[in-house]
Amino acid sequence: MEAVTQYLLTGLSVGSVYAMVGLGFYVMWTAAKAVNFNFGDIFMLGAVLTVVAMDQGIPLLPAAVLAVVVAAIAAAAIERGFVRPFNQEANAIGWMLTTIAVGTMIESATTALFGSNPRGLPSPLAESPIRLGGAGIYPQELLLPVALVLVAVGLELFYRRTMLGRAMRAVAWNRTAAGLVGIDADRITLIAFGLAGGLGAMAGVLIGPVVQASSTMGGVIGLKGFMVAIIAGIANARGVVIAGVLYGVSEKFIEGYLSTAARDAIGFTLMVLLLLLFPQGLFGRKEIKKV
Amino acid sequence: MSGKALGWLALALFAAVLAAFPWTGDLIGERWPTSYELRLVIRAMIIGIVVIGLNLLVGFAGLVSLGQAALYGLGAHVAALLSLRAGFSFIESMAFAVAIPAMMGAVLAFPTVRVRDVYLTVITIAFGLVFVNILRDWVSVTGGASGLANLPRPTILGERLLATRAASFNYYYIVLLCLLVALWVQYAVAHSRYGRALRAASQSENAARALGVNVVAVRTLAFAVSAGLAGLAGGLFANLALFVNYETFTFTASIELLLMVILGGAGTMAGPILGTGTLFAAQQFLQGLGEWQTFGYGLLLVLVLFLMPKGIVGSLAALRARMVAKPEARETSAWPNWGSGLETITAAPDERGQVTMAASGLTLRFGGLTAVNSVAMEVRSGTVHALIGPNGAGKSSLLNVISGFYRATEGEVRVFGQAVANAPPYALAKLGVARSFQNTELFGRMTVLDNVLVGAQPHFRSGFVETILRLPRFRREEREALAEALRLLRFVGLSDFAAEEARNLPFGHQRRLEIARALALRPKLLLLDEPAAGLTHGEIEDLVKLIRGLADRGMTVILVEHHVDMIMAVSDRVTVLDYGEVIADGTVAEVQANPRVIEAYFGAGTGNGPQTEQTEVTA
Repeated sequence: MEAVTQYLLTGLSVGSVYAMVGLGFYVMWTAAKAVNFNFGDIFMLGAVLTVVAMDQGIPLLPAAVLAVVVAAIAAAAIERGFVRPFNQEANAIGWMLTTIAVGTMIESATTALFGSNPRGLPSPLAESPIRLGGAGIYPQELLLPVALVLVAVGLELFYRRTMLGRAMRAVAWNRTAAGLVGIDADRITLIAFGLAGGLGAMAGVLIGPVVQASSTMGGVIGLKGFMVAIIAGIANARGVVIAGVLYGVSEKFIEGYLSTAARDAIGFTLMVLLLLLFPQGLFGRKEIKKV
Repeated sequence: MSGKALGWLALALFAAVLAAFPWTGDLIGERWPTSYELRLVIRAMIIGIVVIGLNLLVGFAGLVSLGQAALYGLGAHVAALLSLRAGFSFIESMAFAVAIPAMMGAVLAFPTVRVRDVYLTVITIAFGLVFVNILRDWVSVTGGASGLANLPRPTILGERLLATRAASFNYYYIVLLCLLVALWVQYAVAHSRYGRALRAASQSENAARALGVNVVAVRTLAFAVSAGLAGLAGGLFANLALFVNYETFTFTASIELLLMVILGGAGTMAGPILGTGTLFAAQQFLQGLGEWQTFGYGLLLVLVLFLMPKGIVGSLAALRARMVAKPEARETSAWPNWGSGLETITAAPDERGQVTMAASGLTLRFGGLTAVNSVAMEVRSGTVHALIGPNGAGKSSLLNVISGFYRATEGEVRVFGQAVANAPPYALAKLGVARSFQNTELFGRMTVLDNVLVGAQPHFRSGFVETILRLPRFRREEREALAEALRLLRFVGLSDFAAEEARNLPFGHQRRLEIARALALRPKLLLLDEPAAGLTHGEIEDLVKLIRGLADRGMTVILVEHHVDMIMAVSDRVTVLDYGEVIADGTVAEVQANPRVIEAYFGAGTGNGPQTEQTEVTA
């Protein structure tokens, strides 16, 4: 029973990270029908830049905010420099190649400059675990689901209540028509990538104290976030949240009852099977392709 | 010299140089190449095979795989395990080294390519990561970090395979042979209906489906072939190194492979060779970068994509085209041009007097919006049946249901007497239903001739193996398809434009080409969605002659159109839709006199109020 509580809690925590990264993919895809393929590196930058800023003597909170802002700007710059020029015609694949290439560069430059060893991200919430229903967990880990709920609600309100959010939905629905009513679709897409970058980097900062910051921390999580978004049906934010949390929890159970080594193999196989059964995603609706 | 002859010459030269390479020492009187250089060239040839397979995906299918190194590794491990643990012979283990990755490729491709191409890339990355994890952690089978060492040396018929002078470099020649086979497969796929279908699907999936291309199947096949080639290379690698472990097959290796494809020129025949060769040469330099090496790959990929997106071969070809091309006078001929040989197009129409298409109770809803509301209509064979109505009346939606693009919410569609409610577009195309699109959907980067050849796809009986081996039936069918495509281009007056890329045609010519392409299916039922939109008066008159001519030869035509003059001139029968419902059905004259039709188009008449009393269809 204690083990079950433990798996549920840590699963909820890591699942919240997948969900936040997945939401980043959702925001990018909605705006551009393209994504930063190596989005995991933006996530990584959140944690790594916080450590770097703290090295300069900046306290944790301002360092984290600074890191998120810088990572968001980097994400927006990637849109402007590497996605937009290669996403001009339907069926373009150039943006996949360029963002993968840039991600490779970011990751290997970070390895060279930051070092290949993971470094701790000190947080007062990750110093000693607390007991909760027989399970041990860091308060930092409990912060993640809270952040996820805030992010999900905030995103929903942003899309429905703000001018910018509405403009983003308009661009998602019909880029040309949005342009005709005076929305600068390119600018909106740039902002969307920046927003997604901020989300991803925030997830990185929040999980950093638990998993340590390293140049390679983003790769697999970025991929899982993308797959979670796909399984949810990439255009459904609530679905992404649910799928992310579910995937995180099931991972912990696989780890607990089978082995850590089997975790990703089983997880990814499961995702492929789900895609086979639900081509439009668990929560996605069949898209009507206008002919 | 033509580009094609130049290509074959370059290939012959390339093969000759590689064949002579091990013996260079005899020529210059030195001990060169050393075994180090020899192995380097063998490894380059092996990687070249993987890159050729990846080129089929990226260059033709427009799909990106970032798990190619893992498929290569899968082949290597299958070969290693089978020879080490099961005592399989070289040939046997190589067969499995090809087959198992090919099957794996199909398993990865099928669930993803039917939804969205991007998903395949995601799944291949995941596959690559999981594959390496398994190799590392499943120590009892794969040896973990220490890998599988001391593989038995491969033999064929008792002959030991080595890359040494004592063995006449026999393993070197086996690898060279495999490389040439891979090049052949690439050539044979690219220059066949499979290659055309792949390129067509990547440029307009809708049009490809409408022309009988089973997009999911052909993409899955392409990925299986590409994975099979990766596996072949993997098997060759294992038998060369006699040692395998996971470090060779990481994500970085997949990026490297992709870089080679793009650098050489995606979608070109020689690109993979030049890309692999160039990067192998550059690697001597890149290895000096130490921890920045991966950065170097990323940077190179970005630079190539920005500065030379067509790669080495693509850029050279463009340069040559600019220097060689002399502007020749091209004439647009009159159309329709009913020359001889066109009989095949209308050789097997639906029987006279039959109901070619019947819809009953047909309803199509998009959420709360009812686009088509319990429509019943019949279209008789050999007639031109116009479908008219105000904007938003549901005409195109109805056409999309009939051609299989939309699935009806309720009701039934029968085509040639068969119920086809849930048949996909490609299956309907094979039955003999062809269509054009409201916004022309050509394969813009394919030639005009290739566009028409895609339409000939369903007539081929020769399968994949016959195509690769260029067996007689394939040759005959290809020849016939080519001849018919040329006749169709003459028919629409575009013979002079055969070698032009479709996107460069003026709009009117694009419409003509789309019709020629649809006719290449030899349809019994032709659906035209506003074919006259954007055409000049003269072009519309030609179009009327063409449609009438087709119907007189037995083809059934359903025409969605707004040009009233055209409808009157060409139609045998007219069905009028308004708000998704049939409000009138009859001959042109009948429909013209129908007050409901007049009301739908011009609004209710003044003075008399709503004219609901006069709504009966005049018989």
